[in-house]
Amino acid sequence: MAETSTASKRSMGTDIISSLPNSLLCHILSFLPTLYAVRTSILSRQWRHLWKDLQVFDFDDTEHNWSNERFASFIDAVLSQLRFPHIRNLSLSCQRGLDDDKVIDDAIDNAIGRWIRAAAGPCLQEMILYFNYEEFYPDYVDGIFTCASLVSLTLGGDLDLNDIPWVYLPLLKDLTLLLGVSVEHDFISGCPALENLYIDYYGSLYPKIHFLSPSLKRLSLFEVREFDDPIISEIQMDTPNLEYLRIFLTGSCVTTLVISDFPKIREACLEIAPLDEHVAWLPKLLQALSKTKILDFGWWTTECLVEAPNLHLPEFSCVHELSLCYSNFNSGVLIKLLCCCPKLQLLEIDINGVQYFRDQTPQSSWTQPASVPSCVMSHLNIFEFTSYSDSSEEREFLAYILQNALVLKRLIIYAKIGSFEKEEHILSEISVLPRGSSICQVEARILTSMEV
Amino acid sequence: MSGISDTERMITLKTVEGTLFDVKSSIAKDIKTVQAFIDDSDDDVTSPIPLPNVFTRELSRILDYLNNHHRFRSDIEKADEEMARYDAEFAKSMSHEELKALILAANYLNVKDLLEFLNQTVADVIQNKSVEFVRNFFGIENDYTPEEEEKLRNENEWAFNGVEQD
Repeated sequence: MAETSTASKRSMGTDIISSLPNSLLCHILSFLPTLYAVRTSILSRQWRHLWKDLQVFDFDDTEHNWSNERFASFIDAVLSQLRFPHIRNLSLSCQRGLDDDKVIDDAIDNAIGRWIRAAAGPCLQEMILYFNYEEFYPDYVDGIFTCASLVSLTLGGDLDLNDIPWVYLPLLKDLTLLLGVSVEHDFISGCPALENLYIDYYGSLYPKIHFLSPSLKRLSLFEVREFDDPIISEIQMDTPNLEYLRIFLTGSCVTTLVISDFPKIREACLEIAPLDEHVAWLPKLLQALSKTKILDFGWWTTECLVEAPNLHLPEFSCVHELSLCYSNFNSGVLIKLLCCCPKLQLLEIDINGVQYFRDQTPQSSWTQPASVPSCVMSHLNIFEFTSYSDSSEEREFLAYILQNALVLKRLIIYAKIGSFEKEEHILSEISVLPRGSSICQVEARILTSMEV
Repeated sequence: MSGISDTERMITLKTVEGTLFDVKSSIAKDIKTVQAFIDDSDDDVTSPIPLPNVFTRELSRILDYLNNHHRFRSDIEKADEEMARYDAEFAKSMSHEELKALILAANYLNVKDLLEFLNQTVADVIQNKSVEFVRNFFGIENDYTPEEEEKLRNENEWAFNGVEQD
């Protein structure tokens, strides 16, 4: 039929989805948890067998309050009815595998082994596995680590990967480890194509972590332990092609950091607890990152700089974007950083650190710098100040930037709740300050209590 | 931003209705069907590339989406937030029938990111909803007899009983 009056066909009662080709409908089903994909079989005859062509599966035992038995029979029923038993993506979350006595339920354990063996075939590209067993390593997991087609792998829970006999994943690009037990042996050397590595350890950290990977482009390392029990450890990084680095070290004490330069680095986000041991290697890390374009310091990293005013900073000759979090505003550290970033275009500062440090850090005050940082005069386009509280030091710094930033286009102030009554008050306070840039737009807003 | 010069090569696309669209070659790269056509041509493509399955309304939407996504990606500030806001508006602005037409066009043109986004949009409607809601929402006619439907529900009993839904 010709498409003459599309509008009249838009009424309810006209089937607007079923006329899509089955391949597209099946693609739509692949975005659903498998249970909901199967449920579409009841919509109409056309949908009855569609889900049986799925190659993408998502099973999660926390989704419904099901018994392990029911969860297992559901997955078995789905896998046994598939038209082609070639699984491309499998997401399997078994977080209730233990019975009341914290003993592994044998039936579910056998079933998991069955599913993983079924999935680890020649078509498997993506696998996500979550377990909550106590530090164990079941041998049926072996097959995953030699799966030649695997491109993306996520492992979460208390798996102890130190018992893996052999790792060879020639196509693996993305690896995510969300584990309670850190991996001591050289896991990633069996992944020659690895580009993205995301590690989040929430449990015991082994004394030494070594990243050796010429292919690695993105590395995120999170380690969040209880601070009162720091574990001494060593990190070594041989990743010459790294473009993105994110390090979050807040619970352990890393005494030694062995690194080579990162000539291709584009973005670095650092959150490093202010321990003397960390301050000792921080200059080396910053030097290795000196070619980055984007630099982001969490409030603990900033605290390292505040506590060590003589810490040597390299010239960040390529940085055009700098984000800095504070627990207490400190203009001295900021001016020092600005002097190291001659091409800076975007500056974001945020005073949102926790109270813990606010009580400890001594109040700083504004000191007029000997000379204006060159980026302020020639490059700074956008300045965003979040949680502005209108302290005298903050006000002096703001006035200094406004006066000396000759090409500033936008100044954005998010004021702390309670510091001003109305947005107009911020704007009128700023309007009396002399401006070096004739094209600067000022935006101001008071943060709501939710945003603080 | 650097990298995109003013003299970038333009490709002309022609819809079913004969409307012509000039597209930067950097945008055309995301339209795999068009890019394959360009790659297969020995000479530089100078005449308009005909798209016999794509209507003007859909092509205009697709180019709008791609142009905006290119712009977001090249902007150093708040790229992800703006992109998410734009995507949400983009999905909301369409009727079901327009959404379906766009899925077909994105599929034919092989615009991978857009197709994934659109199919995800449809999947979001289905998730956590009752069978009746989905039937009504998309206007799917139930052609099972009540007996057949009952039998099917019993056969795959694990998929239907005890499942919470909105």
